[in-house]
Amino acid sequence: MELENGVQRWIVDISKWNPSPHYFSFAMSFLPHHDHSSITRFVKMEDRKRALVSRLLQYALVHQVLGIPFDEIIIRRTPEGKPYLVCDNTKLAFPNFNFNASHQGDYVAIASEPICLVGLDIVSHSLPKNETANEFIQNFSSYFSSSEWYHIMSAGSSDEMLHIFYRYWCLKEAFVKAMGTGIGYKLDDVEFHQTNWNNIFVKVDGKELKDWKFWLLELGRNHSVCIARGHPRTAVTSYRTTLKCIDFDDKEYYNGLHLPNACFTFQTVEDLIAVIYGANEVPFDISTKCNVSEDEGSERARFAQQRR
Amino acid sequence: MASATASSVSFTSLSSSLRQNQVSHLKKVSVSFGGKSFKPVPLRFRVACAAKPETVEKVCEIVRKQLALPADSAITGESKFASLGADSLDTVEIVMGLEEEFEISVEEESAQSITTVQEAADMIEKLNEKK
Repeated sequence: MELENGVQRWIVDISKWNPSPHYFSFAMSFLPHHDHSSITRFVKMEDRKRALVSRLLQYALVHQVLGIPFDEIIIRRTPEGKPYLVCDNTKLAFPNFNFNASHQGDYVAIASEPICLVGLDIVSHSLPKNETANEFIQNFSSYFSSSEWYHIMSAGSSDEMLHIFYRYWCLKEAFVKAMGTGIGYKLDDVEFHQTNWNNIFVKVDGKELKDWKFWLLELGRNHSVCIARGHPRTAVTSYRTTLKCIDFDDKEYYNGLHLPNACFTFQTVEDLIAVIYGANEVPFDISTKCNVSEDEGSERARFAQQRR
Repeated sequence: MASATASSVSFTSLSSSLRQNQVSHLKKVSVSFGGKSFKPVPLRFRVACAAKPETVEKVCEIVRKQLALPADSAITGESKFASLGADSLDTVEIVMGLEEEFEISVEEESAQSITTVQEAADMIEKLNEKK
């Protein structure tokens, strides 16, 4: 399989998805049972929506790109919370397939790579509620390098200040998420450089990381999304152990680093369910396996009928 | 730290069997190997004296305000910030809010390990004792 097929960027606009409680349960029933509590633990419905769609994206992507039967897809999380695919590695078509998901505001997205580590982050440029833009941003001063901070502070307006702040935050998040660490990483030593948010590179402790690439895109109204691509060696231990391969010769890694950055393709929840449902080629008793009520089981059958 | 073996291990909360002024932080964790129901969670075991109810209440208030939760929303010591909807920005702001309210200073490493209201309240009391 061509390496480029391992580079995927899928995104769902959930502002357009307002399911009834019944439909929500129906959608959730397509996920393995043990994933359900990690969705329902969220108090706010918007968070549950994002959690559900994030998981649908993960299973749908893995099934579609790697061709693993849905039943055999095992996705777990590191102690830091980063999801990863568990499976018999020899079957994987790509040297080091890995993915990362993100959600905020109106969007939930996933990105995958066949060789490099990938980190993905979406930020919503929301106005702070209980304080001014400046007061809000001051909370985070210790996470920025002095040049980044200068850039933020010398913006012309508080709106512009927020935009610059959120973009840098997005870059930093994508970077730490690629590696699998939490927010505790010393981010003031991580300094992003860019020209109009293009040609983005990072310096850590003053040294440029030449084996990383970053892209920052604007999404819809007031959202940014960042993709970070980097060397698997830099993954945090708990995540590194989940990777198939972390050592690449220079040529192979260079190829991986310079693969085209695919465009985001917009999916709907129905699209994702269709991908997952299509995976269930072998007929089995859906309702028993996934603890779905009889109603949901027959709704699923009706749904499948419509898609064919 | 519990050592994991190739068998099912489960720990249940003992909070119901302790007296009122003691709260066990033995969280219910379920670990099973070999099956698909694996939920890796950080195992943290701390038995500590409970933070004062007023402290817990103040923390709930700060969290409620930061996450724009309605006044009647159920926030307890056990509530996880993430489950209440906190993202990375919110978590930083919550810790800042706690630093201001309680006049303490939280190191970045400690801030990372606060994931629930109770953990925040306990840390506040611990830092206050040192003053």
